Amino acid sequence: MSEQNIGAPRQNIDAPQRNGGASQQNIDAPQRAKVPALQLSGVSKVYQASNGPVEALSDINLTIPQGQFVCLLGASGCGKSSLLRMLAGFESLTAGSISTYGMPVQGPGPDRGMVFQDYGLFPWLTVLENIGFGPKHAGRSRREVREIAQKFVEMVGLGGFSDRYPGQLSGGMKQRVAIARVLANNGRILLMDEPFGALDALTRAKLQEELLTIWRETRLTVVFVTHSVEEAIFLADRVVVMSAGPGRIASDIEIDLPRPRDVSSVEFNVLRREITQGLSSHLAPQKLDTAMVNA
Amino acid sequence: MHLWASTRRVFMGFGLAAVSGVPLGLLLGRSALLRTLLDPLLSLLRPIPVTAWLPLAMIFFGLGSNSAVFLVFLGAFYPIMLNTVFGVRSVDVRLFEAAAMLGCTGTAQFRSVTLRGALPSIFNGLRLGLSFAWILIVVGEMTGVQLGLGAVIMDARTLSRTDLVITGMIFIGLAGFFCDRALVLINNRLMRWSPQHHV
Repeated sequence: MSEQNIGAPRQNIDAPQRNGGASQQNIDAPQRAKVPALQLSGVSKVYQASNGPVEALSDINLTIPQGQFVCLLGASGCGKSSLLRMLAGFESLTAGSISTYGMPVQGPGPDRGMVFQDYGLFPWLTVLENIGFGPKHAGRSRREVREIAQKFVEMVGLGGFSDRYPGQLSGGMKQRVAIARVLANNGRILLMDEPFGALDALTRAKLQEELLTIWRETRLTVVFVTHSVEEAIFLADRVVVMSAGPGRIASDIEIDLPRPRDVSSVEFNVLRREITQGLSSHLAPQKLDTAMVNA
Repeated sequence: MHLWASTRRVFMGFGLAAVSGVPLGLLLGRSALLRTLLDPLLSLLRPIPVTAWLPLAMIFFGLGSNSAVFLVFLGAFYPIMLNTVFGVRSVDVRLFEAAAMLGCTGTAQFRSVTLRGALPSIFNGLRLGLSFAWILIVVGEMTGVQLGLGAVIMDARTLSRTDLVITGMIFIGLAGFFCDRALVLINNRLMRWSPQHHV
């Protein structure tokens, strides 16, 4: 009896502490909790092709809260990369609006870092200089730039390669530099355009895990474009499936599998089958083969 | 003394070509409007052989050093400018996007992406321009100057001094070679990042 009595107050002491922790986080980011990291409303895109206008994206509505890991999933040509490039500010919208933390997106900016499939590293800068590029142009002092770059080069595990040039690195290492370069810039949103698409399966798996670790540590909002169903389910909190002609959101699926996720588990494969079937049904029969390969 | 006179003229003409050709090339490379405006004029002037400019140069600048410098300038200008335009145009679009998303825009972007990306081509143009400069200095010095390797060769021809003619040629070759080596050294230093741009 006495032991239970001692146990009960203990739990009571624990509970307020947890609440305290939560409210501290809220004070830390009062705005972020309420305003979504990214908000797309009625986004459309029409290209002028030689044979007339082509509607690439039609009426996309999407709200991404702070800290969420979202995968945009779809076959090639569904406009998922275009959409990401609009989030980055590289492409203009035909209609609709995009805002980030309540502010309209008017062009590329350091608050939204982009990781490209083809890396986009500056070949004439060393690994360290590439990572320090953002801070340097933000007007930080030489010493600060060096310290920031050092920190993030270590974070992506390339400490021994600081003075190499991108041309001397493997694809996986280049992509680590590209990720570190965006992190060093202190943006809150990470946009990734099929970043691991050109990598071999082993490197890809390793980088996926590392990306999740970084995401967990930094609590960034991630929008990750991929055509791989497996990659989407493995990484994301939420998979937004897109269909083509014109690009639309076909389904919006919450992934609540516990992390780290087991690619071979039953639950994982139920989801995979469901999403793959959903994807295939949007495609014309002759395109089915590519969808199977991509999946 | 002759060598020094020629070298001085080469450097003057080449220097003028570099300080006008590189900036103009950078501008033309970045601005489609300027390209459409200036390209017809430049393309029209380009096929005119530099030697055909010699009489006009003499009328404008008189007999002597200035005409030779002008010819050197003309000969070196086009390769430098055209290679610079090509260099700017061939910088990967992705790098401009990367710079913009990292917060580097405007003049900073021009300096750290456009200029840096075009540098290999600019150096290619400078090397070509310098070799044209040494070719044209001789043409420029063949009339109306007393000092210079071109003058030496022409005088030696009148006197049928084959040995002097050949010596003059060898000196021009050597001078051109050492100037090119100097450029290559700078090139390799700046292009450390890319073995394929090493010479």
